[in-house]
Amino acid sequence: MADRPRTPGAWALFAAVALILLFLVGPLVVVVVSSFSATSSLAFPPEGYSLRWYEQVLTSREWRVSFSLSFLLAALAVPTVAVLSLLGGYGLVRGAFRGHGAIQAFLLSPLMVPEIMLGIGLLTYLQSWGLINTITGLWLAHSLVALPFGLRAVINVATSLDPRVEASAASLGAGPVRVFLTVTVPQLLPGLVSAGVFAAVISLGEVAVSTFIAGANTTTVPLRVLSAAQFELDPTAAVVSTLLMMISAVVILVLERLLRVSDHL
Amino acid sequence: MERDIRLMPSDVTIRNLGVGYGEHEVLSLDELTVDPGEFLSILGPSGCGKTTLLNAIGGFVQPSRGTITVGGRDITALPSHRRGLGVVFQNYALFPHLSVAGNVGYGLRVRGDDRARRESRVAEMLELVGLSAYADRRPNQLSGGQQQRVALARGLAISPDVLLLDEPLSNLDAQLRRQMRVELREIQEALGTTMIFVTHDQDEALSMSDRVALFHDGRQEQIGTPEEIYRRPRTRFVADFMGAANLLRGTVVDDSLIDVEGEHLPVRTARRPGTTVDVALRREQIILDADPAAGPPVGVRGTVHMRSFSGSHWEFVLTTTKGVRLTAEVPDRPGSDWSAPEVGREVGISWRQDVPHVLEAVSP
Amino acid sequence: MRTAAPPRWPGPGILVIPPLVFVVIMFAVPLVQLAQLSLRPSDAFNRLLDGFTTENFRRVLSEPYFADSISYTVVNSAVVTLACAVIAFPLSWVITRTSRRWLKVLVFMVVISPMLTSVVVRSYGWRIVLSSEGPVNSALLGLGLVEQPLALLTSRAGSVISIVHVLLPFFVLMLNSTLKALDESVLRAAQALGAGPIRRLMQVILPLSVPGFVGGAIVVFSLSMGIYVTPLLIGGVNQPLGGLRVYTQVMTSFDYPTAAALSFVLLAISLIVAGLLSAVQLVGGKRIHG
Repeated sequence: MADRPRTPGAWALFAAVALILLFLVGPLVVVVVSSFSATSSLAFPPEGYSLRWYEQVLTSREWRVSFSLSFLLAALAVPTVAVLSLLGGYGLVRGAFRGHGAIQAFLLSPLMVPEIMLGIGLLTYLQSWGLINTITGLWLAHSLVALPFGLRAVINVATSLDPRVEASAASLGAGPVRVFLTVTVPQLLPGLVSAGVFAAVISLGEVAVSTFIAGANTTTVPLRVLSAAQFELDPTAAVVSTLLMMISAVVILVLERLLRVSDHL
Repeated sequence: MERDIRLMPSDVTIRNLGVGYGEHEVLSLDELTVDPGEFLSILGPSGCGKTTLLNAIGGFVQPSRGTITVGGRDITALPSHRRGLGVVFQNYALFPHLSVAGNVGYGLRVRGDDRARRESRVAEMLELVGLSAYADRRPNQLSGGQQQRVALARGLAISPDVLLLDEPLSNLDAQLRRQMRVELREIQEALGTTMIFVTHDQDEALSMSDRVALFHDGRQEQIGTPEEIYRRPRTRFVADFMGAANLLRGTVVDDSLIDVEGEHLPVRTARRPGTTVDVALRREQIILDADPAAGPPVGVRGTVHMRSFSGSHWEFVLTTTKGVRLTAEVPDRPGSDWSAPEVGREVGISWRQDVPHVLEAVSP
Repeated sequence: MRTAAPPRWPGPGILVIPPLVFVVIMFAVPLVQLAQLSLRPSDAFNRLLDGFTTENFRRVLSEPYFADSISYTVVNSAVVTLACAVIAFPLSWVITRTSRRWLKVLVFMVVISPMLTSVVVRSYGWRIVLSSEGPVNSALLGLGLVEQPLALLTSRAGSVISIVHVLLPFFVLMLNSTLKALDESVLRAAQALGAGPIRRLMQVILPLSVPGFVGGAIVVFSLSMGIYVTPLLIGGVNQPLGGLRVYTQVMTSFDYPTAAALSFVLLAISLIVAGLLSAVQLVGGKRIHG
């Protein structure tokens, strides 16, 4: 029906979808436009355009420190989430064991628990380990938040794998580890890459939990945006937001071209 | 480098094999022996246990009891990668991320063959299946028939003791299937590899095999050469599965007559009068309105209940005077003065007296 | 002669162990400790004392500051969930039914773009859009519809709209998996039997999409029960939302036991709602599938 909008109903559907898409991208576009404002006011549309806020951000030591911290955290979270999702997703799809459904639900459940709860739960827990205001604490927390998304991506791909391909490899003399590494993992690659993308994107944007467990020495980029947006009413937060979005967009577009990630989410 | 690609074929012996437990036993097999170099078909409808048997031999399911030996070596407890058997699956199960050559050479690489050996063996195998020009293609760039050949070459490259084939032709179209039957058999004869071929298609099994083992409900119903299975089915199930349309239960009257629902039908048998027997009569064995000049008519009278035309043949559903229903198939004879009897017409129904086959076993 | 059996591969199931251990250590244990914390007494300076008490839960359920926020949050979450359901359906329909790849990718990318953009960035965008100098107020003023800029940022509508924006992708993803499985031939059959577009939608498509709607509603409702970053940026910390109350208890009062108790009440409500929605699906499913 969506293909040939000839009937009034189809036109209505198209119009509705167009409006919703506008609703979804509108605020993001507003942020990008505001980042080029010439004045310190956030009035929209801006009264003039310049790159002065970009200059300010890129020359600021504080923002540079936050960016390197955020990139470091993403670089730690991506392999962690990719490996855990690979093992968990494949094990869940292929493993034949009791309580299979319950374990899957449990592994996906951090997604279902209110973010505030994860935040204060990890706050008191990591406090007892002395991991508040540390890179380790943020790394573990980001990995936990991203894991359900990565698992889902790997599960989706693993379900479509044919076990006979691996049986063939075994019949040709390959042992279980060899089969896993040379036959299974290459086939799971799209799911694995999706898991990595989720980990990167979530780690680069996480605030709900980070707010509670970060500290003065571990202010990630989104945390700094949060406080800038709350307390400093000038477009620096818009600049950083635009940069964050650009990073996500580039990652997604490259991977979509390479692997058609959208088919595996 | 001149090298004979023939192998020393191995035999396979299966004893007292069971898969699953108690009521869930999906396969139960007292004994099955495959001779070295033999092409054995495992035939049966879906759910009969044939694929389970193949999976047990391949090491993909763990039997609950019994032993499997290949070439005198007990492989029952070995994991599949230590069994040295080649497997070809119905959907080919090629490695999507490897080229054709990569697929065929996978087992050699696992075995640790050096590059030169690997390349010459891959070339040899691709030549055998006629795909030398496709070595660098990916599986998804090949047709179904070509993928099938790659799977075959991959399974054979490691010079397996035995090659297991799980309905390998059933995803191909009819014409290609016929062609592959011949090719597969040629390859088998060229290499001398023992092959176990699982199928649900009796034509396929009959036309390719040295012997056929027919399975039903997790058990072996009969094993024998294609002719034996076709001409001398042991049970009602075998007769039915091999396409005998008329399965009649009756009582022996004397050595040339049996009584079916009060109708005396000419059947030659050595059984004692009074025993209950099952008799299989193929539809093409029935003769309508036999020429009286050819000899004394042995048969019964009946009427045409239904008829249908299938191009080269007519099929009739007949009812004898006492109400026994028979299906007959008669070749059409265009250009002769013969015309197919119409519905409701009375006809003479006969057959050569030694043709009906009395089944060895009477099913409950 | 029986070959010595080598140790058999215990199966891919064991691969689940590392992620399982990780989630137990980083998720289950903290939640259990949080539950214990919610049952601990504390003194007037919010210092933890030994012992066991249900006082924290009593406070949360009886003091208007908390109790009113709970009912406000439930209503808010219900409105957000409904809005997401209505908006998600046409998007999901286009994503799963169109044969034009560019359209599918475009809609899909736009829909998940909020998910791939930090919640801070999204909320910040709404902050600009809804501010007194933002595009909405400029338009209203320019058209002469209002004399003074409206206080959209602190309005309930502003908070609901921004939360819908944040949670919509979850609903669409859940609905996609159901609509993807909907068989085109069923629709053709309905059409052949004389059902027009409206009838097909009401009597075939929507009933068959119930599992997707239920799944989406469960996820969105649960997430909106505890959401706090977006409302913090849009309406400020003083809105009576459960998530913000927990945030304030922790960040300004350092009253962890009460915060823990409140967060468990929020979780309990979302679990109850999830249970009710699943029951609806079960009953509905029986009606459809006999």
